[in-house]
Formats: sequence, structure tokens, C-alpha cells
Amino acid sequence: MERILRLKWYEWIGWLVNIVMAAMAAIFVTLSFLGEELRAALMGLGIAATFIAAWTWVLLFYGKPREAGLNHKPQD
Amino acid sequence: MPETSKERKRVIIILGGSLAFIALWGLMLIPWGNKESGAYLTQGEVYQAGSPDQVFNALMVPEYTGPTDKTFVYKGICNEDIRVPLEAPVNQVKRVINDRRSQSEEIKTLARSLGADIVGICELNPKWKFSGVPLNHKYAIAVGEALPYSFCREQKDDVKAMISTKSALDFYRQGGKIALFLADTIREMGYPARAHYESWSQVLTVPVTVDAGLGEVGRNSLLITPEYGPRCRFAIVTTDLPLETDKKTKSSGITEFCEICDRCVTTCPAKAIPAGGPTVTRGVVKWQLDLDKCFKYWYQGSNAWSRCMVCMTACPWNKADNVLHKVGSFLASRSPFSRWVILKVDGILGYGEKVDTTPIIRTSSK
Repeated sequence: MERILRLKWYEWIGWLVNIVMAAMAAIFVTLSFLGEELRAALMGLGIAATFIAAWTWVLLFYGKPREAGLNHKPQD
Repeated sequence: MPETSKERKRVIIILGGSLAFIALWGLMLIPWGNKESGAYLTQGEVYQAGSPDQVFNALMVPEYTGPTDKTFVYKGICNEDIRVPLEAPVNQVKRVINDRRSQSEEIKTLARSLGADIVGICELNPKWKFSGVPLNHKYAIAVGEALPYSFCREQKDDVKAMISTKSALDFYRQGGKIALFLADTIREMGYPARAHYESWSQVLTVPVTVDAGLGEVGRNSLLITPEYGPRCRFAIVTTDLPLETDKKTKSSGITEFCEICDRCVTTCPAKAIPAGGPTVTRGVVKWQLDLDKCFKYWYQGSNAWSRCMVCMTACPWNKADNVLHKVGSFLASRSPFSRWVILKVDGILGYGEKVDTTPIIRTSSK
């Protein structure tokens, strides 16, 4: 049970946090735009985008071990 | 289990970041460190002013002549004058009240249909009456109208700022209109009632609104409501009509928020709002506004509009009444940590910017 859908258990937690963060940011920015509070919406968008991008980079690339069969041809 | 040190570091960062996120929201959502009650706090004997005239005279405004007309006049459908008096005889046929709760709901619905945005009912505390008035009503109904948010944002345009200031002044009269109609209806039901607004008031408005559970008093001495912040104007109706009161059981975090926020202090052009903690003034625990400085700045004479809704505009509780800010108000009511975070985020999002306080010179000055 170490991996489900090619993700390890702690990666699942990380992605879940990322999705929640993105959903909250989307709600905040949309409601701010609808409320004609453009400055708050843009600042919120900028801050949220920075956090989400950084967290996504950690989840996708940081310290991830190279997996055999994906990065190079298997040896005969 | 992770095999390399880099992979171990990856696990620590992902788990640490996720836990920090969960802990942050946990600390924001779990209620702690709030006061038990958001009621008006008193210590010792409360000093009561004799009348509103005494209060106005103390402010030394030479143009103030005191209330003269005690009748509200509005135009009917055929342009006829319809007069609603401040005091009138009570209907001799008394309506029987069996269910106080439904009676209270009926009164609140009536107030809302007359234009009130928030309504609260409390028992009238004799401390909040002016000392020289013969008022013995048991209940007080507080009705509040909220200024539109667009009027309470910073107006960089002079004309818009002037319209906002004029509208703010007119709102006192609008609240009075609701109170007069409400009192008139209650008298028709066979119970004594009186409207209290502007200089015609025999009770102190803000403490009554706190007792009615509508909000808490902020550092800027305005009543701050969770729904509309400081931009409400209130009028009171006192009556003997049997009503169920609204119970104020716990603090909504507004006073505690003011303890860590000094935005109105730094923005006030008259330097009338005190920094630091609340003090006991005439028996009441509150932040005591320097009324002389406040009123003299606000009233610029007949030659200028003061643009002074600054403490309202700058207040972090002054937000549009939408879901987003309802969530913000909810979070600010949870704990000292959540209030600190909300205040910082509010500033980062650009709400705490400096407000223009230059008076607007009237072109058509008398």
C-alpha cells in the first residue's frame, strides 16, 4: 500500500493541500472580482499563485527519485 | 520508507508544509481567548447627562440651536403632507399579546419593511436614559440602517466624497423616519411608544444597540456590527409592548480586534481617537473619543465639507456585505491568532491604505 496511482502516501497529502489551497484562492479571487474589489483580487491572485506554484514545484520535482523505466531505456 | 537523504528531505518538506497548512487553519478556526460577553461594561456609578442639548452645548457649536420641529413630514401620493408626530395619544383598545416571540418577529419584520437593515430588542437599562427625562418604558427596539459600502470606501473624487458625506448626514434622518413609523404603529396597537433619534433622543443610542445584541463598541466609539462594520446609523424606539429580547451571550471578537488594531488612530486627521487600551470614563469601560477635537474637525463650518468618515472608511470591519467578508468576520471572531492574521492579510490586500483627509471647500459657500 505504499503507492496508490503512482503517488506515495505523503504525496497524496501534499496534493490534497494543494487542491484545497487552489480552491480557496479561486473562491477568494472570484468573489473579490465580483465585489469590484480589484486590488484585493489581484493581490490575492498574486500571493496565491506564488504559493501554489512553489508547492506544486516541490511536489513535482523536489528530491524526487528518478524512476527506472521512465528516464531511460531498460537494459537488456 | 525513503531511501536517500534527498528523498527524506522531500518527505519532511511535504509533510511539514501540509501540517503547517492544517495547523494554521486549525488555529484560525478553533475558538479560544475570547471574552465571555460582548456587552457594554460598566464600573461604578454611570454618570448620565441631563439631555441631548447638554451634550451638544458642551461641544460648543455656535450654530446649534436645539431641536425645534418634533414632527416628521413626508409627501403622500397626492403631494399632501403626512405628519408623523414624535409623541401622540395611545389607542385605548389594547391588542392582546399571547406570544412575545412572534410579536417580536412581527415588529422586526415591520422595521425591515420600513427600510431597516438590522433590528434588535432589549430591555431598556435605566442607565442609558438621560437623567432629566420622564421615560419609563420597559423595552427598547434598536433599528439600524447601513450606508452603502460604496459611500464608505475612500473617495478620491471630491464630488463623490461630498455625496458620501451628505448621505451619511441624511442617514440619521432616515433612521428617525423608521423609528417614528414603528412607534406610531405600536401606539396604534394600544401600547405607549416613543421614537428616539438625533437630538430628539431621550436615551443613549450606542449602549442600547449593544444591549440589543447588534454589535460592539469599537476604538473609534462607533458601534461595529459583524454584518456592516461601523457604517450603520441607529434610532431607538422605547415601548411597553411585551417583547422577547435578543440575548447577547458571547463576544463577536470586535472589541478584542480593536485592541490590536490602531488603523483609525493613525488615520484620524483630528487625532481624536485614543491609542492603547480602553479606560473607565464616567463609569463606562470604553475608548474615550476626544469629542471636542472630533466634532470641531467634522464640522468645518458652512464653507467646507470635512470628508470625515475617515474612521469608518479606515476600519477593517468596513467591508462589503458579501460571503467573502462574512467568512472574514467569522474568522476574526474566533481567536487572538485569527484576528492577528486577518489584520495582517487585510493590510497586505491593500485595505489599509492611507485615506485622504483634506477638507473639500464648498464652491457655493454661504
